Amino acid sequence: MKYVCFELRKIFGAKYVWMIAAAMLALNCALALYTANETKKNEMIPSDVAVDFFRLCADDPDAIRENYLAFMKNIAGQQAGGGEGGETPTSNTYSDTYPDMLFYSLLNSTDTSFRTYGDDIEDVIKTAETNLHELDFAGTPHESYAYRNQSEVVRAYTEARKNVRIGFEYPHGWGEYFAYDAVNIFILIVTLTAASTVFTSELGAGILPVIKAARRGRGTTAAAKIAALTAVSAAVALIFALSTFAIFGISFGYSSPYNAIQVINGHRLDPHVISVGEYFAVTLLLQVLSAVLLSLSVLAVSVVFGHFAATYVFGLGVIGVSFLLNGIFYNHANAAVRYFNIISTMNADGLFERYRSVNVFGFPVEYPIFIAAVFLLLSVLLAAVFALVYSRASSAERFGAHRTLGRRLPGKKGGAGEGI
Amino acid sequence: MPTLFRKRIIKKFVLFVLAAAALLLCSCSGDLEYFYDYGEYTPGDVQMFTYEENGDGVDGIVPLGRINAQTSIAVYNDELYFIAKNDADKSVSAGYTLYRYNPKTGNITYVCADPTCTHSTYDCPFYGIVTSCEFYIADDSVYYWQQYTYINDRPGELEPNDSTEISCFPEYNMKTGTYKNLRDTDSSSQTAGMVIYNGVCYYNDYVKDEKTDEWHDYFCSQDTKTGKITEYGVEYTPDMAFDGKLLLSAPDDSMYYLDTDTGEIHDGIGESCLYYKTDDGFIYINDRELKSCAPDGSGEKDLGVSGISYFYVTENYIYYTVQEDTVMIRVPKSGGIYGSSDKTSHQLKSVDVPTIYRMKRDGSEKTEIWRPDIEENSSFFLPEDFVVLGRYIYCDCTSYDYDEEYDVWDIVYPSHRFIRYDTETGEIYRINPEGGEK
Repeated sequence: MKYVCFELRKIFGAKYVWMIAAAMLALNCALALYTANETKKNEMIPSDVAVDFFRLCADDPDAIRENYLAFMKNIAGQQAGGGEGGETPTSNTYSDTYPDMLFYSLLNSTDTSFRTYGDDIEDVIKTAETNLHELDFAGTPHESYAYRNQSEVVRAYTEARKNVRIGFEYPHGWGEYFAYDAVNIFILIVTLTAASTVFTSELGAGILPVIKAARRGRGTTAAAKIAALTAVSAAVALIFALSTFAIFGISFGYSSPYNAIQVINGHRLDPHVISVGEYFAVTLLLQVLSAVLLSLSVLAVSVVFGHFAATYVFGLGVIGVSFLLNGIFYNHANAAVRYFNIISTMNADGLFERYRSVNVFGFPVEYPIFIAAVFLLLSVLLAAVFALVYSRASSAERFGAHRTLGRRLPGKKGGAGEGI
Repeated sequence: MPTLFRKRIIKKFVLFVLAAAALLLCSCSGDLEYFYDYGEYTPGDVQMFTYEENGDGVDGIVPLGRINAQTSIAVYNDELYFIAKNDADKSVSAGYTLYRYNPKTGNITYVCADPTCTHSTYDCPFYGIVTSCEFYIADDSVYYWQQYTYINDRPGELEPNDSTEISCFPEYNMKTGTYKNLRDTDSSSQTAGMVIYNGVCYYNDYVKDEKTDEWHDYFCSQDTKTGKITEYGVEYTPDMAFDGKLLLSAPDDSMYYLDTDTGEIHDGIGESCLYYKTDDGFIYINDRELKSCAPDGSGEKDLGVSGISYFYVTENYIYYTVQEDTVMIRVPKSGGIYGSSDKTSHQLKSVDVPTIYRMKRDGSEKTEIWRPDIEENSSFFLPEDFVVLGRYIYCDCTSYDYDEEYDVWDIVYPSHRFIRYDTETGEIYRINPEGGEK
């Protein structure tokens, strides 16, 4: 723990890490605030007003139904009486600012969307069942990926149709928060900056041979660096995500975290039986996992390159390639390339919007599970690579740090080891 | 060691994170009171469907161009493929997608293998499939034209509503579900007369001759595996391929063939476009008359029918269409809208009524198969492109309804219906009664 604390102090001791982190956090908060404000401008009715109306609907549905019927009767009466150009009545029962028509329209679209969820899922199940029937007719082996995949779709969506519980409410806040994905770029840049510091700062200062010559200077130090960097990456991801969450919360408020994830825009065909709150936790985990993976890959590369700038450029390259893969035109990329990158994983929405699987030796494995498993494995592998290279190779000789140290220790004849 | 300033910053961060976490608890709405109930899932009713086997098929028949010459329906591995309105998307603006119909089970499935796909988003391999062009099926892959405007409308994007025109010729492998763009194109490159043979796509493309600075409709080929494109520098059109030969027609109707192994072009067989190759030779149409010739192009034989508008060759028969009757239907006047309720802006127009006949491949046993039964007060179908499998004609039809008030027939929209006609009983089975709906 002492070594981990030392590594943490070293990361936090670098002034530029703080400066970049602070700048990125400020920039992210500003951008999130700007995005939230822009989104608010497009709202038909402000979310707080809509929430009050939906609460009224839940408390006294009969009164709302009566009001609605009277409203429609009024419209019909106006049209029958030759109302001017079919103008709709502008009664303001629920708000002084917004006409009733808008409230009823919002209620109708939300209610219809929730009510027809079962039918939409049934369509998916039936399509998959027809596909299975055709595969059977064509003599496709039941052990093939194509057959297993369709069977899995039937199973997952039958389960979803049975167990997904959509509660009546006005969903708000969550969709806007999940859609804001710029935060991931800021998380990755800060993580990259911190990760580049861990190894290269010691090398640059020329104290690496001193550390490595110490009793616990190799294995223990390597483990401490990995642990410290993992903790910092996770903390950075959480701080940025939660600050963004707070900003969207202040702007929109959040609907119930216990409602099914299927109420959120884009998640209608999500086959997972989880709540919005649980999905939020999953997105946090994926953000942490991705940040850790990036930091460990940067750490592993830094021990090979041994140069801050080169390591930083590598990290930027990984972020850039991920960004491009995430934003690439869909017709130019197959699903695997599209989803299997850090940015797409951090965005999470694309992975969860409907059932998507990877063919792993003939078995369909869902993308979120597959990617999380691969990211975990890669993280462990990269950590092992770093620990191995750091512990074994004589970095001082490889990067000429002994000469640096020799220069910094005047009066000593030989290299660093001899000097100490 | 962190300075006092940094310690303060850390404290502030911790407070900030705690505040944000607290927001998670306090900003959310309370418990939900009313939940939607979707009941139990019950499988849908099975459509009444019968299928009778019959030995006739299309084995050994090589048609012009793609799997089936000139039709909007393709036959591959005894299944039918056609483009129709996407019924997975319930919106009015739903586009088109590619369907597969199994004649033996009566099931229609989407060629896009993802059951969760609505076929109306960019990630569907058939999004924006061009309906006015042919598609091609070979070696378990579909080749087609795709054209649409990609609009970056994702929320939270820094540059939302950024649009790009996508126009390409992709390959979709039906076994693996993989999509590959073979080449970017423009609308002028969406030419007919393509042949896919042994993993190579033969087609025409407008190519600029750098020496003369002129544009030519050159014959080209592209390896579907490597993507390598070869230009041959001649304005020939690929017709059909068999036995290592690709037949080519020149603008002056002379014929050539490309040796697909060596890539050399030689003088060809026959003197005009050959539509079907059978074991006995070729069957083709010349001045709306059906002809046949030997495999080497010699011995042209008149099959004794004229006025042909369409024909289809099976292992046992030649099915052909002759326009013998006409019927008056109501259509909008110039500039009017089809299907409009305002009938005063309409006029009457004469439409040919096709009759389908068949004969043996040697020209014998000519028999009338389907003469559309047009009676007053009833609707009817007029067959257009068709394919034949066994005893059934699978046909793209235009449907007409009788309007008693005006004593006239109107086209029913959507105008194209996919039907099955039983050549032995005369029964009509509507495969997709609403032009794509099952």
